[in-house]
Amino acid sequence: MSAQDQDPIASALASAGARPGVPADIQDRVRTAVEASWRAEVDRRKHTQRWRRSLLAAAAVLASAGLALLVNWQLQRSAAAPAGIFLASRGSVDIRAPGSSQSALGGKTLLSGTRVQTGIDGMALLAMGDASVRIGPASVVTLQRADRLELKRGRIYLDFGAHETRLRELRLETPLGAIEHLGTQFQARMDAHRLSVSVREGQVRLTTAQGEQLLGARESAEVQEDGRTRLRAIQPFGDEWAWTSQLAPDFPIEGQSLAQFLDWFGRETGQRIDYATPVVRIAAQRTRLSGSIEGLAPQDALKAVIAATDFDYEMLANGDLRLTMHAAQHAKLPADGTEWLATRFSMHD
Amino acid sequence: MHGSARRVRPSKGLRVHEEDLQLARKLMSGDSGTFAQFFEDYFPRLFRFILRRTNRDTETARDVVQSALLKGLRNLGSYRGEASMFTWFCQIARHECSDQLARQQAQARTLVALENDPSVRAALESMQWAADSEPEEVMQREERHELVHAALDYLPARYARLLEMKYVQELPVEQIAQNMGVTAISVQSLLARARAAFREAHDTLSEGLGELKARACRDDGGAKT
Repeated sequence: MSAQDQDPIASALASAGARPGVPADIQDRVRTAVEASWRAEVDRRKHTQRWRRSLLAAAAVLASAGLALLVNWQLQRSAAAPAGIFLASRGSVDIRAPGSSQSALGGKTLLSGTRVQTGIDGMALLAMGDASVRIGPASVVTLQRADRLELKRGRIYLDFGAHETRLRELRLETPLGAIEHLGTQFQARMDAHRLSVSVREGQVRLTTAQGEQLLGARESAEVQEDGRTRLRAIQPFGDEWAWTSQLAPDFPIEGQSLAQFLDWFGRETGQRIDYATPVVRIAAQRTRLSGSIEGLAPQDALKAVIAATDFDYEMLANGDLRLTMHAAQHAKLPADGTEWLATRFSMHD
Repeated sequence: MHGSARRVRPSKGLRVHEEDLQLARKLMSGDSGTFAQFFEDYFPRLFRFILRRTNRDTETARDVVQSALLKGLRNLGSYRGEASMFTWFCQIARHECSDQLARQQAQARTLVALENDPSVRAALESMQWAADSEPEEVMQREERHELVHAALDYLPARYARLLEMKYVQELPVEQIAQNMGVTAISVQSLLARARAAFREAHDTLSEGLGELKARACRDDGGAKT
């Protein structure tokens, strides 16, 4: 018995023999026809894929162009909007418009997206709507819109003037909270891990991760990273506010009364003006000023103005400024001061 | 190999669908070498597959297979690898064959008048007599051989070639290894897998053929009663 007899598979295969081949002429004819058709199909498929890829590429280009136009339009739309006015600066200040690598220092109008960065000796004074905006040393502030700005780090001081009516909204955003003014003067300081908001006058609404709260005049809030807030009472003047006086907006004294100048001084320094007598108040109201205090800090301007008049002043322990008059001049005035004529003076005579 | 009534499932050896998917991708990419190999492997098997269904009419088989290959290659993108590519082409070819035979039958009906011609009738009757005169033993042997060849055609091409080289051509393992470009050890390993795959394919086909015959007998009995 052979090995094949014992192996049914081997036996079956050997018995069946090789599979019948296909006649060569048939195989060649079919191959020629099928290969030609297959080649044509491959070419057609590649052509379709190329066309589809081209179409997709064209669509992608169109989509990109559309997106670029949209982005550009949005940028132009937002960038075209003025957000504030640059007024003055001291020390190292870098002001850059959005998308610009050139410093915009010297430009008067600041567009939305403009970033203001000050060095350790730098300060900047801007105007945004009704507000005077002062940016302290080592600060980074972005003017997001005409009614919104962001303090990333450093100090900022906002003064909305002594308006009785409600002014346009201005919102200050920081990493730890947002501040909305309610007709006020306040400053905010953003350190690495802490936000400090101090209100000199009026009221602000402070919104943090823990919620929102109102801060009144002479109140300060310290906001920690976790949103916890600690309130404390503060003085509206002193060292904490001293920096804001260094870049106060100029007060054009020409034709203004001494009382108006003192109001300005009081707002800039946070000090309350105390007239020694009603006569002194009337005398201050009727005293017209002439000249200029441009470039002088409020304290220096006060000295210059008072020196040119018959008035005097003293700083009280509570921080108030008491205005007095030289005794000889005061004696000449009627008790109610109504018949007294303003003493005219000029600082630059 | 015979006598098992269980339904045999295709073994892993028959499931080379991932390879077939790669083959489809290469064919779609237009690789000429792949096409040449594909044609060498698939055409003879498909031709034999269809030839059995066309009563050995080579011209009809050629038309059917050519049509099936054209259609399959045009629609390769729809091949998902759920069946082997050969099975997929067989299904296409079977449909083509049915369509072709239906067309031929319709054509035959239009030519039925020829059968009324005495000379034609005589020729057909002589052919029929020749077929009927084949001894039973010869027919059974032919059927067994057909079954073996069909099973080989269902195997992956290299399994079938290997089995033919080993058991039909009786080449030594070293020679087979040289022909296939592998080591002798690999040939032994491949041979074991090829034999298992052949056994499954043969049993499956044999079982299917038995069922067909039994159904035919029942149909004949029913028709006689």
